[in-house]
Amino acid sequence: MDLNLFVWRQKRPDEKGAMERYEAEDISPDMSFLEMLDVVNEELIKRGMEPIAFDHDCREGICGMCSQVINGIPHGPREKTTACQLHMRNFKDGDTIYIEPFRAKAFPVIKDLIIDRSALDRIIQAGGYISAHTGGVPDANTILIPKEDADTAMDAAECIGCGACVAACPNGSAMLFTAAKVSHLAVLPQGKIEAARRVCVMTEAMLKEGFGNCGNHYECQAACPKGIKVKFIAKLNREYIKAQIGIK
Amino acid sequence: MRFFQNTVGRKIIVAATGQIMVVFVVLHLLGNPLNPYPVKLPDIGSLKQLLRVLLLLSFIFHAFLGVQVAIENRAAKPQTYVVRKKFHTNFAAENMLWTGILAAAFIIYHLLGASMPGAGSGYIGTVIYLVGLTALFLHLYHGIASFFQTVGCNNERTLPVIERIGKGMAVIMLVGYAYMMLLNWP
Ligand code: SF4
Ligand code: FES
Repeated sequence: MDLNLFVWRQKRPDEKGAMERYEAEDISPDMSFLEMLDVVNEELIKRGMEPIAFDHDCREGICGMCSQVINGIPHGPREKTTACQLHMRNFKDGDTIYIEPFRAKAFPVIKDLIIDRSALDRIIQAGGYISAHTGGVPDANTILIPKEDADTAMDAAECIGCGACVAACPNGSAMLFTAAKVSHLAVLPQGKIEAARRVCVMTEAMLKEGFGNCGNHYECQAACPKGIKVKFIAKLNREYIKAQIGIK
Repeated sequence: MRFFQNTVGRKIIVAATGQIMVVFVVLHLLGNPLNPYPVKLPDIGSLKQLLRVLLLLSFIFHAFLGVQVAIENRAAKPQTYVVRKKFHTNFAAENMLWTGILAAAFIIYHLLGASMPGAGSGYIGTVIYLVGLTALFLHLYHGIASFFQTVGCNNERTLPVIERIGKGMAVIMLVGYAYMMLLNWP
């Protein structure tokens, strides 16, 4: 199939970018969205033009690198699917597709569709860890965890740190990401020790990095490729209140 | 002091002060002298002064922190998209700053107008009241349910129910006040 692309092109972080039009020809519906861009780039290189710069790594939906806003939706139109796992059969021959980088003050554009997402890493560095004794590997099942808690923790731990929640948020807030990390650790006994400090320093780091405040728009939940729910933001808020009044 | 600078801390204050004012908006409708079916509110005597102070403080904190948060949020999203698709958010949620400013201006006008004869009954007064009520309605349309999420009283099951109740409450307030205004039509 043939497609009409409008892609954000920006040479440098300090340059003003613009949307540019490209044609993607002979695209197979079995290609992934990134493979489609590979084809377009090969054509551009053949013609001596600068290929479109975009981020990717695993191409199997687990690393969270493929940050693109496709037709106004981070990671594109398919629910709970990263851009790399989005297949071209989700589009029709002759479609016009707009491709833009994730937008937020905390995610400066480096080039074209590539953004700097290290602000999320610094939120993790602030408190997204647990303290553990070094030494031998502990025996399995020495710490018993109720099935329900394990499930909740796993649901939250599904977050791959892609930043689509920030991209979708009208306030550029990283609350869903932060909430997923805080909740994931707060429900497990290993994470309880630092739970109070963690929720405070991670939310402080979020604001310091230039992310906005959560306005309960819930756009993040719709965009999240891993189906992280805003119930975890309510959980983060509870954890914060608990920390303030000193409940362990 | 860290509480007042924290993103969640401030939102909790904004949510709580907002909800205090919502309670007043409801009571004000029920016990309103224009209400054809008035509900007799208990006489609380000198407690009234205390509640006035509480409301005034709520108004000040809500407005100050609300505006501060809104300014930060705009700065955090300096550029939007050429094409953007929305899923859950709506006009009311996206315009909390503006509906808040309008509602605040309306409330101040209303308080001054309490001793100003004819306010709300003249042609211009009616328009101001309608605009003010609409702004307040939009503000509550997002705000009432938002409170529960912010203070952590929410989960996957309760969220849609709380949203529907919050929106319903906002509609009831709009219809209730507008109805009384019509009754008072000159
Ligand atoms: S919460 Fe979802 S959208 Fe946000 S970073 Fe994690 S996986 Fe990505
Ligand atoms: S490239 Fe790893 S999630 Fe898409």
